[in-house]
Amino acid sequence: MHPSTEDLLSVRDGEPLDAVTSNVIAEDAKLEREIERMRQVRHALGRLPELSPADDMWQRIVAVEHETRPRSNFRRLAAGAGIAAAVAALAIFIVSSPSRPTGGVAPHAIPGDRITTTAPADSPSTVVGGEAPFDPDSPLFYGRVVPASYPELVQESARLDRALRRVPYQRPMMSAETATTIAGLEDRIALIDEQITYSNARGVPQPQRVALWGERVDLMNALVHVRYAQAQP
Amino acid sequence: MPKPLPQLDSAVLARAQHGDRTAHAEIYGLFATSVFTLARRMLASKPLAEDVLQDTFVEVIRKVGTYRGEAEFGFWVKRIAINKCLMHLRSSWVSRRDSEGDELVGLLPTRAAGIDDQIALERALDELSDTARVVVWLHDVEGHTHGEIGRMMGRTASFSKSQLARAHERLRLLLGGQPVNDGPTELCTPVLKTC
Repeated sequence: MHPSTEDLLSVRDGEPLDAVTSNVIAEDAKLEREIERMRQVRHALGRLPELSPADDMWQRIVAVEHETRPRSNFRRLAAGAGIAAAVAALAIFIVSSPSRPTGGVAPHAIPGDRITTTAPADSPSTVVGGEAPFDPDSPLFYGRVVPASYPELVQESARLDRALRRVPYQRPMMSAETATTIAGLEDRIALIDEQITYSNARGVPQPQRVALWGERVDLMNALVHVRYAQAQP
Repeated sequence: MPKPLPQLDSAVLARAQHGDRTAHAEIYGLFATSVFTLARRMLASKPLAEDVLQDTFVEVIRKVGTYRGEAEFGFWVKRIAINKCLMHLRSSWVSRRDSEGDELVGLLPTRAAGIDDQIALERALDELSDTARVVVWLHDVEGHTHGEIGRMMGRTASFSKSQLARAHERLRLLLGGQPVNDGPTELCTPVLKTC
């Protein structure tokens, strides 16, 4: 039998190991050297230098903490109503969405990352919610073309991740409905992420991988909207 | 062994719990470097580490009044930071790492003069998958057990152990080591399918 890396790490870390494996390792100088090498890696990791943040970070933190401090009950209620409307609209959108088209239009998008994707030349694109005007100063605008190819979906997904990080710090007060919605979306995204992560190893066909990325984009879009609505005063 | 955390004066803590901004600043001064280092190592990204630093201390300011001393204060702060890191990784888990994949095929080792070469080690650490990097840092540097890491990540201790093994296998290659396959003894490295 051949001890695995997990077995060698168990020896390194002083964790219990079955007697047979322990004996095999103890009698093999090469394995002992490998364990010693792993010890050295651990030691070297612990000796990596500490890193200092930028000098103005504390001022930024104080400013963010002040800006995002919980507001009055009235404003909380108003925000809650807005969130409920956003949640309802998104739920309708997600439930009623057919399978991803080969070139369509996203319901919403975030500025800051200018539009970089376009629909395939041979597929007509329509604008959902196109009646809403484009407002470059607003975190949301309508009429963005949904990327349909694999790289476009990956790019769009990354853009939504960045957009999510730009949503102001969420206030600790939120309704149970909003919290449930956010948790549900995050759970579904985590599930999709796991499937995508192992799709290569599992030999998942390309069309299914595109579908996974498409679903991730939809869910991320929904999450960004809920989080943004929740962050509004 | 994890590095010892700075000790917070109880008077400073009491002032912070009463909303004293200068006490908050003192807490930041004590723990900012360790939190930023933790976040930078876990996330392999300076902007993300700054986000985590900011989110962590906003939460520390708001929740310091609820701290009851069940754990060392620095440990309490670090747990907040770790949770923030894991949230960030969860939200951007695939997008930053997808092109890299999670396989060793095609991996080009970064030949290092030795494992004490910190630059090579930092590069190798950044090259690990998000999961493997988080696990190796939390276990080998922060000193968390596999059970703790599994719970923090919503997985099992076995998951943590296998990820740690995977991280070390990959670090071995990235640091210029060879998969052991040249003698009567052969390391069983499932990822490399040598057994």
